[in-house]
Parts: sequence; structure tokens; C-alpha cells
Amino acid sequence: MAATDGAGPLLQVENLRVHYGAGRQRLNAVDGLSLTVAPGQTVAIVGESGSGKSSAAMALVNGLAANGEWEADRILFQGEEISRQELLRLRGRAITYMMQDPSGALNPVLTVGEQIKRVLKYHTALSKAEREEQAIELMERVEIPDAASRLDAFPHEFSGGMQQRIVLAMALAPSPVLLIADEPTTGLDVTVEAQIFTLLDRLKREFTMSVVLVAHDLGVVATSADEAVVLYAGRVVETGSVAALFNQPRHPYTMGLLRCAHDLHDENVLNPIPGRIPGLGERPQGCVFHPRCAWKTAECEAAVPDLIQLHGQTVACIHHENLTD
Amino acid sequence: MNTARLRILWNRFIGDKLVVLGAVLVFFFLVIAVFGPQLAPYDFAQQFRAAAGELLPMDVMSTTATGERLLLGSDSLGRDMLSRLIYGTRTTLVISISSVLMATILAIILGSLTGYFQGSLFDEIVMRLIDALLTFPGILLAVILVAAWGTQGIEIGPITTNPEMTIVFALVFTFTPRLTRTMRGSTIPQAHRAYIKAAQLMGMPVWRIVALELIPNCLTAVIIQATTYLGLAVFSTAGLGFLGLGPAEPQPELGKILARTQEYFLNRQFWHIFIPGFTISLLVFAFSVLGDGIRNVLDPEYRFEEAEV
Repeated sequence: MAATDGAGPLLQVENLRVHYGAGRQRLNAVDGLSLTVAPGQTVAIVGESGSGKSSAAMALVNGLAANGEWEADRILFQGEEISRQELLRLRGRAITYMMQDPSGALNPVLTVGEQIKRVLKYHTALSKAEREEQAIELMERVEIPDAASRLDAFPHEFSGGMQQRIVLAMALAPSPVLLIADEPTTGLDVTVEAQIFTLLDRLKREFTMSVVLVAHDLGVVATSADEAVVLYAGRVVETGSVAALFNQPRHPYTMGLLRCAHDLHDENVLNPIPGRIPGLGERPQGCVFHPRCAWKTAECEAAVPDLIQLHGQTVACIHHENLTD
Repeated sequence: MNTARLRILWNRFIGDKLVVLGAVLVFFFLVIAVFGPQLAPYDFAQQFRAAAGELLPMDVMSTTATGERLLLGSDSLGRDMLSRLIYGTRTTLVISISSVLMATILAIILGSLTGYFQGSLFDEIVMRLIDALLTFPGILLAVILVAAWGTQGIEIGPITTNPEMTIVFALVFTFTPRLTRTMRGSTIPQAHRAYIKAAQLMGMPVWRIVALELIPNCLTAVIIQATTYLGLAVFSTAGLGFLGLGPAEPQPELGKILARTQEYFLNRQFWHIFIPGFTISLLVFAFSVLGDGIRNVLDPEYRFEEAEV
């Protein structure tokens, strides 16, 4: 496939590794994540807290903490291999990042209009009047009512959902081709969450951009993602289309996650995965999930399982053929 | 900022009558300083001869040998006290306000950068230098610096500063360390807030993040401290002048005028000391009280009820 015809993947990252230095130790937060984002697609990185999903997202925009480092075997952007520096140059323009907590992500002493206009000033060649116009348009597109008069309001005058819309407007301002949204609805209530995702879905089409969605909520993933990568303790355990993952999970962890979801028809029964996710310094030998797995054998403790290609899905489990729910 | 909020702040400010008095006094002194040359009846260096049978310094409302009326009398060299007081206020105010202003700007820059790059080599070097400066107690550092540089102005390459700048620089050295610490202290928690991370992830350059995102959020504490330093600056300027480290003669300065009145403290004209003395006290008082007022407006922990009493 020709790289320039636009049909190839927008962003492809191979074997992404993130590690943090803690004293003399080197702790691997993400160990070999490969990600392929097609144009117009939403790819979700799914995992529980501590799985490394935020670290992976942060690495792509070089936003790791001071003791964090990352590398990848290959980064391809629009079909061309690029270096980490070139990826960094795309940040803020072609690739934008949407933060978790909207109330913290906005500068408290500047009006929201000022903050949107600042992004425009830095990333576009628009004149002052055009920026003003564009800022109002952006606020209208993220469905902030009465946008023109709200331009001079301060972040604290908005509700959490409205603040997140402003953060979204700022992320959309440079017309990116890829938006990385790190749990964009944390701390918002369910109805607002649904509104934000509907909006995000519509804007994704309007701006013809792809989205990398970091999420822990399977409901969110099911409704708004096309593809998903399931991370557990820094390793990819399963990837595939959302439909495949939800209909036919192949990895015990994915199965467990789906079983955790509350079944409305089966009251009072919750099926949590026993145990807890290992901390950064206590990752087990072999398959990272084996201490919590019902199907574990001696082989699981011996070697790290490779990702096995199945049709439309990859899974890192040697027993994937014998699993029964 | 909306009008309702401005009204609340304004009410806080005028809620305290003492603060209003301070503001009026500061305004009065500023007018004197700005319009000094128009207001002063004589040149500050002009020496008058006392009338026959009179001694120097001349008393209040005395007439000179050549017939001029001196409202506040003269100093021991026959120079008009009122004119010297007016020009002296001007000198003192210019030195103290510009030194606090320069120190604050310097502190905002150094404090925000050290706070943003907390733990870096730059931070370590700047903060250790500041620790070193802080080992000198307050005005002593200014005394040492003025004594070392002399009062003739400092040569910086081809430029020689005017003599007053020596004092300004000395005071800047005295005030900057504490202001920088305050600024750094208020910067550090802000630098870890999400909006700074968001700005970094937007690809904004460092200077923009520090200047446009960070600094506006960290100014309250340093501004409050700077306003309280205005009174201290007047006091220090006059103190240096009193110790003979003020601007060179014949330039008047409140501390210098006060020092000269010592000469006749045991004479009939002992009360002369009260003229510059009272002026200095009033100026320091006005600035301190105004500083309180500004703190009332800016300090988020200020409680309105207390000012009502």
C-alpha cells in the first residue's frame, strides 16, 4: 500500500516502552505497546489504574514526568518514518492532547476566550480579529451556549462539563489530525459524560481526525471506540476491534473485565477479578496476569507469552484456544 | 473582572479608614515629589545670609539679610529648609520606589524561573546566592554595598550611573532575596498544576509558559510583600542618608537633612530635628498603612469582619 495515498494508518508506533527511574531502579510502566491508528478511527487504550495507559499516552506527546523516559522501535506518521524529535514537533499542532481534569487544565486567571486565542496565536497565522472570530466559532462547535458572550468568562464560571468542552475547543483549535484524550470524562457525571462523547464523536468526523482514547470504562469504549488495546501491568494482553473484543474476548483478563461489568438482568452479582494489579516494582515473571488467572499453568510462569495473531484480534495468552467462560 | 467584584475589593479597601488616610498621604507625597520644582520656593542649594544679629540655622518664618521669607527656616548652611524638604522627599521617594520596583521585577523573574525549574542547577545556584545575601541583616548589606561602591555613581562599562543609582542598587540587593523566595514559594505549587502541563503539551515555549501562564497566577504574595517593603525602603533610604551614605551634597535627601539637624540639637533650634523627622515618620506610616490596605484587597485569607471593627 502506498504510504502517501492517505489510506494507510495515520500513526503507527511499534514496541513503545516507558520506564521511570526511581533511585537506582528502573521501573517499566509500559512494556512493548504497539499502536496503529487509522484515519478517522478511535483507538482506545484500556486498562485499570496502574496499567500504564496514561504513561503510554503521555509518552506520545513527550509529557512524561521528569524521571520518565520512553522509546519505540519505529514511529510512522502518515506513512513516513519519523524520529522522536519530529514527533515532538507535531505536538500541539497535528497531535493535541486533552487532559483528564478540566478544572485544573484551564488557567484560573485567564478568560477562556484568552486561552483559546492563545492556542490560535501560537499555532495558526490568523490575525487578531480572525482569532477572535475563530475562538467564538470553536466554542460554538463544542456547543457552548451563547459563545460570544461567554468568551470573557473565567473558567470557574463554568460547570465541569462546560470546562471540558473548553479544553476540547483548545485541543481542536490547531485543527489536529490526532487527538489524544486521556480519560476526558473523569469526574463528570454520566449524563455529561454521554454528551461529551457524542460531541467528540461528531467533531471527530467534522475535523476528520483520529482519536486515541485512554479509558478504564468499558461502557465508554464500547460506544465510542473502533479499536481497542487492552493493557495490563504495562503489557498488551489483547488487541482488536471493539466488536470482536466484546463479543469474543480471548484473554482471561479481558474476559474478567467484561464479567466485572454489572449485568442488569442478573441482580446483585458482581464478578470481580481476584487479587490486584501488581505495582511497578513487583511485576511477576512470565505472563504478568498469571497470579490472578484461573487458567494458569507452569508454562505461564516460565515465559512471557507472545502476541498471537488471530483473525482481527491479537492475544497474549498461550491457552487462548482452551478458554471457556 | 466584573464590576461587582471590583466593588467588593473597593469596599475592602475603603472599609479601613486608616488605609484611606494612608492612601491620601501617599498621594500627597507623590504630588510633592512630582511637582517639587514648581512647589519649592527656592533652589535647594541656594545659601542665604541670616539677618543682622541672627544665627544660622535660621528659625521658622525668619527673614534673610536679603529679605527672603523662609517658612521653615534654614539649615546650618543657610539653605531654605522647606525647599530642601520638598526636594528631599522627591529624592527619597524616587530612590525607595524605584528600588522596590526593580527588586520586585527581578524577584518575579528569578522566583518564577527558579520555581519552574525547581531542583535544577540554575535553581541551586540562584537560591544559594540568595541564601548568602540573606546572611546579612537587612540594612547592613545596603550600608556595606554603598560604602564599597561609593556615592559617586558606579561605572558599568562605558556608562557611569548617577549617584542615586548606587543607593537604589544597594537596596535592590537588600530586598530582592526575600522577595525572590516569596515568589519562588508561590510559583512551585502552581508549576505543578495541570494547566501548566496542558500548556507544555500544547507545545508552548518555556518563556511563554512562565511569562504568560505561570507568573499571573503567582503574583499576589510578592505584591503584598513589595507594598510592605515600600515603607521599609523609605526608612532604609533615609537611614543610609542619615549615616552619610546618601546622595552627595548639595543634593537633599530626608535622611541627610535629619542628620544635619543633629548639629544644633543642643542649641536653641533643637526642634529643627522634628521637621525632617516628622516628614520621614509620616511617609513611612503612609506607606505601611497603604500596604495594609493593598494586602486587605489581595489576600485571599483576609476576613472582612475584622476591618469593620
